[in-house]
Amino acid sequence: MSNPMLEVCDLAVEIGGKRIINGMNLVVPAGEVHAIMGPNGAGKSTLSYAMAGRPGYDIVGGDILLDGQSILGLDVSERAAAGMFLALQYPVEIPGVANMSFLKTALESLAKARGQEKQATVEFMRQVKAEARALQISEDMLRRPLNVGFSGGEKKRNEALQLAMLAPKMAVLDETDSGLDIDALKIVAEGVNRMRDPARSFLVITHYQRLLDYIVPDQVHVLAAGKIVASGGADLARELEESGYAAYEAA
Amino acid sequence: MFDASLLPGPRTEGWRHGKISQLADLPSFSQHWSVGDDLDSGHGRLLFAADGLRMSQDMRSKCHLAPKMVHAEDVHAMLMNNKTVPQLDIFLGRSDDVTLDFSSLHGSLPLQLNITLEDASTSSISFHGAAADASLWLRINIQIAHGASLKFLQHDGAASGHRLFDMQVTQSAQSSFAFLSLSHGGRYVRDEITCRLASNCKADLFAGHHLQSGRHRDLRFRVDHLGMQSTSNQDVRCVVHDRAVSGFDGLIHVSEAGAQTEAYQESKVVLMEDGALHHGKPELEIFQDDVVCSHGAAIGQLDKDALFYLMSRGIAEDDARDMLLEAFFSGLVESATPFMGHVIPSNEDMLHLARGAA
Repeated sequence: MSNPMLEVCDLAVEIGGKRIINGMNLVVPAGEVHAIMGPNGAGKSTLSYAMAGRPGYDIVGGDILLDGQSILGLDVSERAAAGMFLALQYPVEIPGVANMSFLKTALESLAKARGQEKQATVEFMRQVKAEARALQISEDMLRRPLNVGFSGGEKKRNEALQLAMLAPKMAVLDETDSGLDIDALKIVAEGVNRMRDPARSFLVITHYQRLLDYIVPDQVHVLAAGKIVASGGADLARELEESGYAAYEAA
Repeated sequence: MFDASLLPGPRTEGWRHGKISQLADLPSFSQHWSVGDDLDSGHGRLLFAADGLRMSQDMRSKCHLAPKMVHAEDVHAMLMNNKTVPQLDIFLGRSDDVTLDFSSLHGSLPLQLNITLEDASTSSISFHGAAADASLWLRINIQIAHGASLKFLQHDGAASGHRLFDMQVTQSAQSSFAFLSLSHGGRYVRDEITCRLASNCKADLFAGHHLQSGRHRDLRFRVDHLGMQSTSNQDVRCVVHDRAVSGFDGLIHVSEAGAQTEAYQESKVVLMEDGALHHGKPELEIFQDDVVCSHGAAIGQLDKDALFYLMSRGIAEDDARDMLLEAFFSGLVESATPFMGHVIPSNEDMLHLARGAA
């Protein structure tokens, strides 16, 4: 097995004093795609926000290691610089911030935090246009304010564009399939599959098996009541599709 | 003796009694305040200082200086009641672009400007605010003749000292007036803009301020619709930090004669920290049934979801805040641009405003 890219160790997370994640353990080796499935209220989105460092998601126990280093002492942007990326279920609309300049600022910020040279503008333009073309994102969308007036599918394709441009070590996709029609789902899934790499890992959070037909996982985990209650191969997702979560919730 | 408690505005005792004492002590007009040598270069430029005025050569024929006694009529005039102030008459022609530059002003200056636009003319005025150690009492009376158009940019490059800015705009039929103000506030800054609209007039008023800790700005827009089929729009955006005091009073007044008026007002305020204070007072006074009017006022904090989103892509917190504030003010300038034409701030000025003057 490869070195672990993500290690969640006995994690406990509270929101407003209420325990949501309760002693969770998970290891995602480098180069693997793991899926987390679970019923509503299981703690899937809480887990993703806690990993990204969102304020209000209080980690009251355990640790999260990214490439062997704890990230609990880092703020949101520092975690991104360490290689964490969260594709949001509901990407935020930000009027007045152009999509393209946002991407450029993000790349330059990451380069600065990592002590790297910033990408030349010409190279940036070439790359962003190529990635946008692959995701069927028009140049007009690149010029528009970030996510403003985008359809559900456009927002998710835009998240995939950010993933491609920022090239993180660890990408968490939080219910990326929600609100997507089948064509958009395929485009986003192809974008993710292009990014699969021995030095990059994915955690795909979803309710449904459908997404996993296109992003085939190495492992599937069932999250219920704030804990991983079952793990298995890709077949586990198909079993869940047929039997539902009732057995796991009862457990 | 000036009674500071009569002055309206942000209503904390400290501001009322402590911060305006310098304005109350503004001197009477000095005979030594006069027009000096011509400026070496430039067009349409007037440079104001505590001891006098210099102007570009082309403005000589358009300006006339004379002293005037001020009589108390309102809170602004009370400060200067029975004092004599310099009064400068400015006559603008077909398409004059004029700069009123107070950026070199240090010390105290009371001043009245009377600006007249001729029929069907198109002019612009750029106002640059005074330095932080200045006290400025400025009344501007503007007469916009039939069919004429004026664009007015009020721009503070840095925080001001004390300023009372009272602009009264009287619009004849079919005239238009556009106003954009970008300010960092100051120790005490009160800006009032009043527009009186005859029939078929347009008034579009835009203002933004970014008040760092301890700063103050009180802004008042009043639009009187006195004739038929006039339109007005007020759009205000404020960012206020800890211990800063901000105010916006916006009034739309539609008289009985103001049938088929269209008037809108919107203000958006971001309070950055717990100790930030904003007084908002949106008002409609409508004495005519056949109108379309609306107002909206929103006060909140910086969008936490947006801040998280930007930071989750690696943008450091301070930079993410700057991006969001720049976007906040850019929206104002984008709205104003169709009305202000070329009289808009530079990108550098916008960045400066978003980051807040030191």
